[in-house]
Amino acid sequence: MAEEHSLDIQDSEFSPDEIKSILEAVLFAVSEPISLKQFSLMLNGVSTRQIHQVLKQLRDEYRNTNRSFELIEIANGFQICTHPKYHGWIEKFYTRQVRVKLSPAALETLTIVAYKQPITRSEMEEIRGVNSDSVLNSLIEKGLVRIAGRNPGPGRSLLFATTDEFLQLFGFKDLAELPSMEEIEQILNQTQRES
Amino acid sequence: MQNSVEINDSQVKSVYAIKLDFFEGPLDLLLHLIQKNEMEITDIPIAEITEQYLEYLNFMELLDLDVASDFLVMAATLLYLKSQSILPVLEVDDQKPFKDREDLVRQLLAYKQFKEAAQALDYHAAKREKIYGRSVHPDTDSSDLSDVQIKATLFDLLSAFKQVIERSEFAADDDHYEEIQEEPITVEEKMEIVQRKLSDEPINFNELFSEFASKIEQIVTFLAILELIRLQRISAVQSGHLEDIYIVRLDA
Repeated sequence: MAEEHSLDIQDSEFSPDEIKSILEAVLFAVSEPISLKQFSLMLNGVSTRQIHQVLKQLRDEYRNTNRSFELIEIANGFQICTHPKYHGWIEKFYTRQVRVKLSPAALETLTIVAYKQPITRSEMEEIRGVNSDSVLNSLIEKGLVRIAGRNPGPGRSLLFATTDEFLQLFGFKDLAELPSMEEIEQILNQTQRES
Repeated sequence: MQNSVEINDSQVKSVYAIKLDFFEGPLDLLLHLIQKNEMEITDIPIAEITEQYLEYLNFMELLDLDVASDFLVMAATLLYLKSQSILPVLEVDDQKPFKDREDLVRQLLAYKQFKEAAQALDYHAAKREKIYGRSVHPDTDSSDLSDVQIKATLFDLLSAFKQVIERSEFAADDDHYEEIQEEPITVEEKMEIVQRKLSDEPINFNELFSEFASKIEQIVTFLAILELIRLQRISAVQSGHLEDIYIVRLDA
């Protein structure tokens, strides 16, 4: 297997080390997560599988040399971020930009969309038991929810889904990372103990 | 002749009408009552919970809170369930106007699950806040200023305001004219003026203060700016700490 990969890379116009440096440079300079596909398009000819392999090498390198930053997978892409243990120091230096602070109603609605997507407006209201139009609109405005299409059934109602910004804001790699029932319980127990 | 007292009463009422999102909706209120009474969702004493629910609605009306129609629909559902539990024979096979007890229990359980999931997501978001990527600030992209902007903190604003005051005190020192009582201006009026001054271009913080205004008016202006920032109508930005502060409009 390993041999096969190295052969692939030798076939392309870049050496494995070159690819690694290019990926690192782009990751360093770009402020948002970059997907394997974007990398692959940039380095035309290098497959997403190879890129994934090199990124894993980079990630391990940072980890093994105890860097203060790490290569993380977030919002369907890769990004270099500081290690959480240094956040206090960073905050001493600069005040973070205004975060998208969500109201309880917005968080509740967003959670329902996240777990039930694609979902219609009326399904949302059935769960919450209350009209959700204005909350939903503000979530769309904030770029956390998008219109994902229309229900094929009668009425062709709009379907809503979460965006990559949602994953980014909550620190998820993809939707499969949404906490399961057991994880939710764990988190609730933990936060109860902390408070 | 009109009764002026009544008019006054309604005015007072509208002034004190607070809009608080105590509960996200009727289900939220029900859950709260169930938890408060340490009841099981699957085994709610309908009569008791209905009574408490209605009591709460009355209380909300007393405070002149806007009781959304969804709350009233739930009240009707609860009353219907209560009547059913007293007179179970009444259930004719007509179309049911409201959901039955099982439906309500199912809805409550599902709602509770999502509420807990929301808490878990919030926890993830808090954890996520502790890591930083390289940053270009999307929040200030909308401003026309070319260089990177950061939000001015309250301390930045305070020290900028201190300079304004010191400057005007210095100016006042030069000529010892007698003070003329000015017509007072309210924070609300100043907010209007500040907003009118702001066009699409960002404006320097200092330009919002007239050199000839009294100290009181300067303070009122400053309070108006703080209030507008709080209401997110304007934003105070600067290219770095201790740099000049610019005010930009957010509600364009």
